[in-house]
Amino acid sequence: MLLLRIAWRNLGRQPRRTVLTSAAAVFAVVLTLITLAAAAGSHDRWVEHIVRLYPGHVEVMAQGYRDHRTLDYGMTLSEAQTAALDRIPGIDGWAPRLEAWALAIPDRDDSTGRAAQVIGLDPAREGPLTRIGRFVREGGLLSGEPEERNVVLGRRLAENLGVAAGDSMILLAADYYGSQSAERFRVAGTLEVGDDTIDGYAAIVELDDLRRFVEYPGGLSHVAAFASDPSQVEAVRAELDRVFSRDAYEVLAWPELLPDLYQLIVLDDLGGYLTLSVLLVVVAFGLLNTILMSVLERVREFGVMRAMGVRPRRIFGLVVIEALLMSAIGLVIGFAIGIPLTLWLEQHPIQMGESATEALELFGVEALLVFRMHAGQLVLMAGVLVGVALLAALPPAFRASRGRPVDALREA
Amino acid sequence: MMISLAFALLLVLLPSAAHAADPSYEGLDAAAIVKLAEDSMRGDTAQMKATMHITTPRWERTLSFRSWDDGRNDRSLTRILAPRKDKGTGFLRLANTLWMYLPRVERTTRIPPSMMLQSWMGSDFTNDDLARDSSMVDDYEASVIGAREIEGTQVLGVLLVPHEDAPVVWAKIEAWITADAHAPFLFLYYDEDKPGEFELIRRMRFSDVRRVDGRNVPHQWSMEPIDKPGHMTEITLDEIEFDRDLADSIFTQSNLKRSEAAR
Repeated sequence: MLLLRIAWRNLGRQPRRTVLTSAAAVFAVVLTLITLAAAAGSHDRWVEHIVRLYPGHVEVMAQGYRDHRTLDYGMTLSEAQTAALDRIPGIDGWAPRLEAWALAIPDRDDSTGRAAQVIGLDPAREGPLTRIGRFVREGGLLSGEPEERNVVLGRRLAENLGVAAGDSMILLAADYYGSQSAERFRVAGTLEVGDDTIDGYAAIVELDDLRRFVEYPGGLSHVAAFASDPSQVEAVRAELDRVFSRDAYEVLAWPELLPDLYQLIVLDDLGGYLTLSVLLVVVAFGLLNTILMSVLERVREFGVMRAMGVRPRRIFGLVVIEALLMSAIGLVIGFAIGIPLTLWLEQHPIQMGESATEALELFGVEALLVFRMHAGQLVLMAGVLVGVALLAALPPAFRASRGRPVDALREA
Repeated sequence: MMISLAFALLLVLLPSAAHAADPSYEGLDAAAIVKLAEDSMRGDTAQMKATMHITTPRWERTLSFRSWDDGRNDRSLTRILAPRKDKGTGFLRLANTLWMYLPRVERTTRIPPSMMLQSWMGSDFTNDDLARDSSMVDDYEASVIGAREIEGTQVLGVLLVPHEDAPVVWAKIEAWITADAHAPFLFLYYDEDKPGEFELIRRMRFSDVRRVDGRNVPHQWSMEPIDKPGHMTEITLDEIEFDRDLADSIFTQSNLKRSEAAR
């Protein structure tokens, strides 16, 4: 406690230096907080953008489906499970899906078939949850007349097959019992989302049409769950894990479902941290400089303390505490400015310039710079700044506690 | 014909009557057997009726089919006879092109390369097995592994390794044939994950060897995919004939569509 009081008094003896050094730390804290929040905000939006196209934040599937992707590893939902899905806290909604590989064949002789991924879904449920329907040309996702056996084809698949909206085509797939099923479908439209797995392979049909086609009543390949907010994803995943026991089901969140996207975000984060570390190195040298100066000015003072019997270890501690105090001041003031500012930015996303707006809206992305702060960023910030202060204080502290008091007194 | 890799080997490795009758044949080593088989291989035809039983952990089903294989002209026709849902479905292979006829929609389609590794009629065989012809003689290099006893049967082993740029699925095949009748006994199909690390993918067993048209032909075949426990496909030959002349009219698109020919 005594050391703390002395350290505090020492900082007060050079108010201008203390204020300037702390100001550098404040600046670094505020800037870092805003940068981290901007990165987290844009990553949230990347995830939302892709997850809301079709995949889902969390998927529930039977054990084995992930590796084999066949109907052998399909699942059905019990009434209790359906009810539980509706009650999950933080969930925006869920969609039942059945996917199967098939051969898509134009309805004429001697044509070559193409591999297609038949996606059976419930258009009414997908509507509010996913954006995939918005990309369908020629009238919506299987909307319109509830005729049986309509199919929406990925644009490239349709081109490869040489079929267009209104044409008839044939799907051939293995049914639930391993036998072949072949049926005619009417091409209701085509869609282009810019993702080859959909544009090149998707054949979207009504869930119940596909269930009949493959003789799998109630069958699903997985359930896609959507969180109401990015911060709820983990809670939804955990709750789904509880509802669907591990011995029979697998619950996967988007980082596992979309590893490419996850890697991209990790990489982007790494780039961000590199930039921030440059800023922190500058702050560290500022701190080092200040503390070293104050130590060199006080050689005689330390000599007197040593001569009065203060142990070198305590002098070492004194210098370190001074550095920690300065960074703590920076941290407290930085948080006091940075947290409200970031919170305000969270509520008031920044509209980007006109050219960026046009470019991004082509991809269906709003041209907004969005911020999101979370506790992890604050803890990280505090930890790093304390670490930096400690590192910067070590060389001057060694210097102050070293040597014989007599030399120090004589030198001054 | 179907399951051509096994079947081609059947043709390849089955000595003709003349060779089998020759007592000096006993002394030949496996390399000579392969060479002999390669020579006698080209120009064989076979037609057969078979029953295929597929077992999976969830269901079992039985198919029967008839096939005509014309090794001379590198073509084959296979037609499903039963069950009713699949009856009339036909496969016509002309060289490496595989056509399929679907009676339910009355359409013929060419199976694209991307679907060649998909299951054939729900079995553990793939379309590729059906389409891949007897060209394995050209695609693989044969060498002797040696003789050994497996499950009480004396067998000779032949190792088949693909030529460098051969368009084949397997990294190597171990073909074990019985020492006495020179009939296929056990074929092991390997994949190569990393260079030098082979993984067993399929195990094919042959039994019930009977003499047909001067050849020793196993009438029971079973195939187990190693990576899918509980899955098995068994084929029983109901009828088989070799070396008959097969008319060109069999291997045509119009014949493929004739479902009444499914008898």
